[in-house]
Amino acid sequence: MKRKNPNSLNPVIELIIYVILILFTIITLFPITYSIMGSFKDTQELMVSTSLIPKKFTFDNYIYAWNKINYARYTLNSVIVSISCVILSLLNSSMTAYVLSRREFKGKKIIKTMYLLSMFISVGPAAIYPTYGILVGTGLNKSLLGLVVIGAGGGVSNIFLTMGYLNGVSKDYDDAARIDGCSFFKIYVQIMLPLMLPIIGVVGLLVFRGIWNSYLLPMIVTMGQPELQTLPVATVNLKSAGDTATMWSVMLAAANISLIPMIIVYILCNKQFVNGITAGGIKG
Amino acid sequence: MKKKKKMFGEWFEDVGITYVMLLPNFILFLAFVVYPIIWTLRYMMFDYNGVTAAKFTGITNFIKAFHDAYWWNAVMNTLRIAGLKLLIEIPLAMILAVLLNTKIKGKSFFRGAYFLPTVTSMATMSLAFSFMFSPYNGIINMLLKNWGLISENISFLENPTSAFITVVIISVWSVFGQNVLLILSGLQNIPEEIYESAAVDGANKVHIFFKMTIPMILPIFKIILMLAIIGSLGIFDPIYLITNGGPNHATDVMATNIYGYYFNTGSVPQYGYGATLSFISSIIIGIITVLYMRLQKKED
Repeated sequence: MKRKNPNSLNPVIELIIYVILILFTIITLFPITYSIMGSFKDTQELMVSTSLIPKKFTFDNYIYAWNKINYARYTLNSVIVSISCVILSLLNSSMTAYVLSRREFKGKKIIKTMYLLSMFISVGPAAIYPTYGILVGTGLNKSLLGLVVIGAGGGVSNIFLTMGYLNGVSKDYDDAARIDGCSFFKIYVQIMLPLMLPIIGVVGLLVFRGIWNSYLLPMIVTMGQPELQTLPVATVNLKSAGDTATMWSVMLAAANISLIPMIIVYILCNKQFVNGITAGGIKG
Repeated sequence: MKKKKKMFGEWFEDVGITYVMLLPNFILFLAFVVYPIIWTLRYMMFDYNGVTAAKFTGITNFIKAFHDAYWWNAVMNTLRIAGLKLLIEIPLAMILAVLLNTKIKGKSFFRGAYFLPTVTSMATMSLAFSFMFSPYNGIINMLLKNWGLISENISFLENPTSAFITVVIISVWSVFGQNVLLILSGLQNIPEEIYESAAVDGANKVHIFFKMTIPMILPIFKIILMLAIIGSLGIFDPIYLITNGGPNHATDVMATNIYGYYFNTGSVPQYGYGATLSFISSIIIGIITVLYMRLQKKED
């Protein structure tokens, strides 16, 4: 006798499940689709048509955004800041995680406790003013360097994520390398960094997402310095800029210049994102 | 001399390098995490506008906060918005995760779609949202009209109730996918054999779900709920970018209220008072977190 698989679904229930899942997929994707499709319409059509698909595709909005309202520059700024922050914060978080995972030393408990506590203590937007104060005091607010420095830290949750991973890497690797005469630092560079690549990929993506999408801090830091603005800052400013405020399609094209690269990264690295969120969420 | 050099080398390898490697991150941590907290704790007892010298005023700011109707309105709004948001977001995420955990096709597509908003920037998306919800040419008004659901255009963001609901919907949209992902991963960690043996014992699906699935994901679910509560109480981006607390403070939350004292153009900043309010908001969030954890302990 063939036993019925306990997990197989009754076709009616299966249909209901699909309807619910698809309905929420449509709702979820609607704003993003609206933004992307709208940028290929002209403003006239965007304002009167309820169809998402443009009657006639036009790239003019992108050309206008890129050339006329300086999006080439904002994109460059965003790329510079994001890439620098990802590289620096990966170095910082992996180095810190390596030391905390492999060494016993004076003050270890204090540092770990401080890092851990900081995950629960937050003063919210109030932190921005003193942070800005540091940048002004050091003159770092005059260039993109200010934004890079703020984002260069490891990020406490990323440190713990990396540490959790490293704790699962056998200490035999360290011992073998030490017998071969490797120093503590050399073991980090030559043995541990390559072994950490999977978690570094995950953390790098989370950092990239955070920095690329970050709005409030860059907005404050670049106040009065439009040439330093990043994409989200420039995009929000369009809402109140006189000459573009009525050009909806151009504004959507501008927004998409920041939106689409992130979506592409997400689609390409979907698995790492999923791993990062699930590992970080449960442990953190 | 040679011996001393060697000793330094040994010391550096055993002790020095440890601190050298920790230092860069620790300096940044002190500057951008610890310093702002200390700054806030200090200036919450000062009257300070950034121009004239800071004046120590003791607990004056706290007394002012106690009588500040706008502040308590923001606190109540935070609780209401967070409450409604969680009430929609958590059951929705739960249902979708359970449905995704069945034997259906396209699982990773659905999961990927729900998670997509969490990789977008609220700043960037706020533009699309402001067009979509626009009272005149917004696509939502046009669609509702086409379907015959409304006869006159709704000014979503100009009416207190609809602004409130709009902001909640947009915030749910932006984060629920993360919870779907987390709950789903909890569900997938339950070993298959448990279901199989229960089915052999003749337990039906509803029974299995409530008696076995729920208890098994409860520990993870509690963490997810706590993270969602903390996140919702600190809500800032969607409010600031969509309504900026309006209309007439109807969606003003703690974070946007505090922000106003620091950076609102057109009024003199009150850094001291802003620091006081942000301290109070941290305490409120702290109390709610502790209450939640206590409540959980009791249940266990």
